[in-house]
Amino acid sequence: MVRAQPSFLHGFTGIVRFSLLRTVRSRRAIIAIVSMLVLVVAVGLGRKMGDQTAGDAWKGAVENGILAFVAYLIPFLFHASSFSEDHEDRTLVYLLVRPVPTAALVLGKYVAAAIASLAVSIGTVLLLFLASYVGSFDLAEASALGRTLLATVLLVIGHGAIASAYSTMAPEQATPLTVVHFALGELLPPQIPGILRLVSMHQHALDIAGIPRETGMFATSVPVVPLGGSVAYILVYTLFFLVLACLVASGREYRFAKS
Amino acid sequence: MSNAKPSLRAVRVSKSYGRVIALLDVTLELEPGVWGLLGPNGSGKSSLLGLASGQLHPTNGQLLVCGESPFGNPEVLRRIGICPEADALHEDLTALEFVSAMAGLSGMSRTEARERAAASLEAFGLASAMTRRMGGYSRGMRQRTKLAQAVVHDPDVILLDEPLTGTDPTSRAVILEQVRKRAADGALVLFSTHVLHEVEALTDRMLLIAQGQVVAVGAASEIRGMLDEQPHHVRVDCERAREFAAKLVPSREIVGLSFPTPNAVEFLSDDPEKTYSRVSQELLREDYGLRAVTSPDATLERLFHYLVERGTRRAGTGVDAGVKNTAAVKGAS
Repeated sequence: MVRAQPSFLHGFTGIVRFSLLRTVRSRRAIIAIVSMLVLVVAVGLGRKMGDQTAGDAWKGAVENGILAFVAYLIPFLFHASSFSEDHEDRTLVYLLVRPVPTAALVLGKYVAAAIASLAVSIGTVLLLFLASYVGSFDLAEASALGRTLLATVLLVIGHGAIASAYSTMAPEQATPLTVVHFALGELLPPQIPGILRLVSMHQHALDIAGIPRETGMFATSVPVVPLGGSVAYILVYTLFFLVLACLVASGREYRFAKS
Repeated sequence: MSNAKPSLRAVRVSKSYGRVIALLDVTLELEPGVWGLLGPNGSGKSSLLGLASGQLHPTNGQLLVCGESPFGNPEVLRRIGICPEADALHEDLTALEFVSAMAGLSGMSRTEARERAAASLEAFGLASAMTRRMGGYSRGMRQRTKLAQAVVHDPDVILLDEPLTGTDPTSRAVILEQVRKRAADGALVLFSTHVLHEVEALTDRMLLIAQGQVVAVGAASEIRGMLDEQPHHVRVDCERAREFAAKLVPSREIVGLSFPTPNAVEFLSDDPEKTYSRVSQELLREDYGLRAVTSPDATLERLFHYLVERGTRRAGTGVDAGVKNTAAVKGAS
């Protein structure tokens, strides 16, 4: 019996559901959750045992914990393996021979990993906020939380797009390529002088979260980018990597080693 | 929507990976029914199935499934089901979850996909195990799960890459029954193996592939005939090997002779029956300190080498045109 051609949306949602199911059952999910709980406990203990104010504890958690750690580790865990794990396990063939457009496969896997990454990251941000402000919560801090959540969400989806792109384009080298890109393209630029800082999504995320530019050479010489500009920059950057991944995957063969 | 009859057509298809040539100038045309794809390891079987399932695209030539190129073509892929060779499954999922997801990706609604997946797994004898995680499955159960996902969407073209590897007799019987049923329903089944009797239980139509070339196409009986047709080696291990050889060499059917060890002689014979008869007569007549009489080459592996060599020898003479690199065959269904 010849079936009707499934729509792009049908294939896309099928891939999202299947990939999410696999992610939830994976060891990566456990590693991510445990790592985040350790971070939250560390910040909570630091706040309780040290002499920091709630504001200082929160600022430190955002700058060093959320934007410099959570927003890298979590997308890396969920996205860098999105394609390459299937490739290594030789299970990618089951998806490649289905009547699903390659773009739906790439985007479906990306969205599934992004849902998992965002769930863990947003949960971590909320717990860190509670750990920082425990006993001294002030509703006025809600805007800081809102900005941090926006910065985290954008950075997580941006970093996820980079990791997913490498996982799709070069499944066997996805891990080193993602690490090198994160180091040279994201973490390094906020430490260098001048406008070059703004190539990094990380710098824009710091601005969105309202972290003052105190570190690095000539930190204050960089033009201030309006909030909308930073948001747009991260979204365009994300889109660029997703489109690149779709284009490369559509024309390439995925070969598998013999069992 | 393409409703073309199930078919697989290759026109001068070559596939290379860098400098390694996996398939060379293959031409064939297959119609519905079961086809055995026989060849030794590394002969190009998996590459041919990879091309037919749209995972690979030809370096040269054209390969069409149901009249269209399958590479990156969902229109054709919806009509194809493949059971890959690799023993790879999602260990953390249950068979029902896995096969349901594959059915869903083939265009079914979630409810229908689950019902069809359960029916497909049941047909392969996995009714009681389908809600268990696949990480705990035996090899036979894993093979049957792979087959269940390959046919869950009722494909017109079913590509099976060594589906009986590692299976027990029960699994084997279930798999063969399902393959027969699908073919009877009008599907084209291409069944790859390197074991002749596996495919003989299913079909009389076979493709022999070696060193990336289709070296023969025909019925199982013809393949068996080729096994007899090729010169046979008859090895006699005895203490006085040279004396024994001297007695037999005048025979006309013996076309070659070698001494692999000082106490063994190996005859190359055009007529193995006659040679065996003469060997036993001579051994009965005189004591040569006999240890063993064996035939090292009644295998497909030898047949493949023989056919490739024969094709190469006759290339240019026109004798084997159509067999060496090219096999144009219409199914006799």
